[in-house]
Amino acid sequence: MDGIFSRTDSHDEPGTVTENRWPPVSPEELEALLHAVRPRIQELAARFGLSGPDVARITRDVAVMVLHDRNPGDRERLFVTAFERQAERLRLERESDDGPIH
Amino acid sequence: MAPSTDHRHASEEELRRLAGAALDATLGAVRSHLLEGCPRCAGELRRLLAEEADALGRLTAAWVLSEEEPAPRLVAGMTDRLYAWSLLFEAEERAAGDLADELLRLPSAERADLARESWRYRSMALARHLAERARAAVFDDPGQAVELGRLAAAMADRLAELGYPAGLAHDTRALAWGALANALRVDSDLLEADRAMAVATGAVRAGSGHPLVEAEVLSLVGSLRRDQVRYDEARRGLERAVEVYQQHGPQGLLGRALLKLAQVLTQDGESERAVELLKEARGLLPEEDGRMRLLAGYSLAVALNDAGRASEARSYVEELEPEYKRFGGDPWMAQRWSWLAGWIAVSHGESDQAERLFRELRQGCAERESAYEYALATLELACVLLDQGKVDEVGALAEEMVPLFASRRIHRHALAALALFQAAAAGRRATTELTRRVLRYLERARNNPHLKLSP
Repeated sequence: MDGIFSRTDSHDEPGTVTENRWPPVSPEELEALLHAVRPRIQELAARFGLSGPDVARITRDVAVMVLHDRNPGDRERLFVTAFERQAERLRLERESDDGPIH
Repeated sequence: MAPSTDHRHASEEELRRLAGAALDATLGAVRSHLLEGCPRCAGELRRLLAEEADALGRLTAAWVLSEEEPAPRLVAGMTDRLYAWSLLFEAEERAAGDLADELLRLPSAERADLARESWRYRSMALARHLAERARAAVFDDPGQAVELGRLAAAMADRLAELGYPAGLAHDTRALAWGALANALRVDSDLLEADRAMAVATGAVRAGSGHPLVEAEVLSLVGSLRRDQVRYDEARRGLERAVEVYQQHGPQGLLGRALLKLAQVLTQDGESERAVELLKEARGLLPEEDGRMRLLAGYSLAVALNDAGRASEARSYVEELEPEYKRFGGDPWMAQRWSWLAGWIAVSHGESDQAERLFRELRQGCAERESAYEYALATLELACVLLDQGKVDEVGALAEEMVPLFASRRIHRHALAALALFQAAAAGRRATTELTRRVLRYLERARNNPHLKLSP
C-alpha cells in the first residue's frame, strides 16, 4: 500500500484518529500547503544564498512548527514568514562573523 | 485526561515504525495509546524522532531543491515524518495538564529536582502549560506565578538537548522566560524581571520565526518597560506587537495589545490617543472575553476622564453597567469601579461624593490590609479635602498613616515619599500640588522599588 492511501485510511479509522481530532490538518491539506509554499521557499533560498543543509534545516524546523501551531490562521503565510525570518537571521549571523558583505 | 498507565505501552519497534510513518493504518492502537497521553511512550517517540531528524532533513532538502515536481513518495515520506512530530505534540498536550497537577501537588522543594531529572516531565507541552499557568496566576498570586515560571523556564532550557526541533525549543524558552519575567515584574522584582526578559528576547531571536511568539514576548516587554517607567521603549515594543498581530494575529490578541498600548499612553499623559485605541480594542475583543472587554471599557472611561471629557466618561460608565453586572463580580474589578467613580466625581467638582467614595475605598483597603492601595486612597482623599480647605482633616489622615510605615508591602522609596507627605500634613503644610505629586509617583512606582520621587 502506498503512503498516501495508508494515511487516508488511518485518517478515517473509527475510534482513533478522527474521533481524537488528530491530525490538525488532513493529509490533503498538508500536501496542498507544501505544494503552495515550495516555489516561495526556493525563491527565498536563492535570494539568501542558502546552502542545501541550511535549506533542509530551516524547512524542517518551520514545517514542524507550522504543524504544531493550533491557530486557525493562514498556514501558508506563517510558513513563508517564518522561513524568511530564519533565513534573514542566518544571513545576519554570517555577516557579523565575516564582516558586512559589500 | 490522566496520563495513561492502564493500556499496554507501545514497543520500541512500533514507535520506530510510527516515527517514519505516523499515519500507517496498522498502527491505530499505538496512536490511540499515545493520544491518551502516555508520557512514557511520548518520551520514547521523541527520542526516536530526534534520531530520525537527519532523514527528515534529507527528504526536505530533496523536496525543496528538486527542479522537477517532487515524486509522490518523497512528499509522502516527508509528510509521514511531519505527522509523527505532530502526533507527539498532541500526545504531550493531552498529558500536560495532569502532569502539571501531579508536579504541583509535590512539596515545593522536590518539584524543581523532579522537573529537571525525571523522564516523566520532559515535555515541551508541559513547559508551555506551566508558562501559561504562570501567566494566569499573576492576577491572584504573583509568588506562585514566579514559582511556576521558574519551573517552566528550567524545563524549557533543556528542550533542545532532548531533541526537539531547535526553533520550537527556543520559542518555548521565549514563552517560559517571558512568563517568568512577567511574574517577577508583578512581584516587584524588576531587576530579576529584566534579566529573565533578556533571556526571553534572546530566545525569540533564536526561535522558529513564528511571528506570534515574537508579539507575545514584545507585549510582555511592553508591560515591563511600563513598570520601569521607560515609556518610549514600552510604546515601541507594544506598537511592534500590534503591527505583528495586525498582520498575523487573531483579532482578540490584537485587541489585548491595543489595550496595553493605550494603558501606557494614558499613564504617559496621551489620553486622547488612548481613547481612540481603546475604542478599537473594544471592537476587536470577542464577546466571550467578557472580562477583558470590561477592562477595556474601564480603561476607556479612565482615559476619557483624564482627557477632560468627564461627562462622556460618566455616560459611558452608565452604558457599561450591564456588562459590569455580568463580568465585574470579582473584588479587583469592583475596586477599580469605585476608584473610577471617585475620579469622575473629582472631575465634576462633586467633593462630597468623591470624599465619601475615597473614604469607603480607604476603609476597604484597611480591612484587606492592602497597604499600597490604602496609601493611594489616603492621598486621593487628601487631595479632595485640601481642595475644600480642610487642612485639619488632612492632618488627622497623617496620624492614621502611621501603621503604613511598618508595612513590608511598601518599598522604601515609596515610604520616603509618603513620609514627605505625612510630615507636611501633620504640620498643616500639605498642598494639593505636593499631594498630587506624591500620588502620581506612587502610581508609577507600584511595581518599581527602584524608582525615587523626583525632587
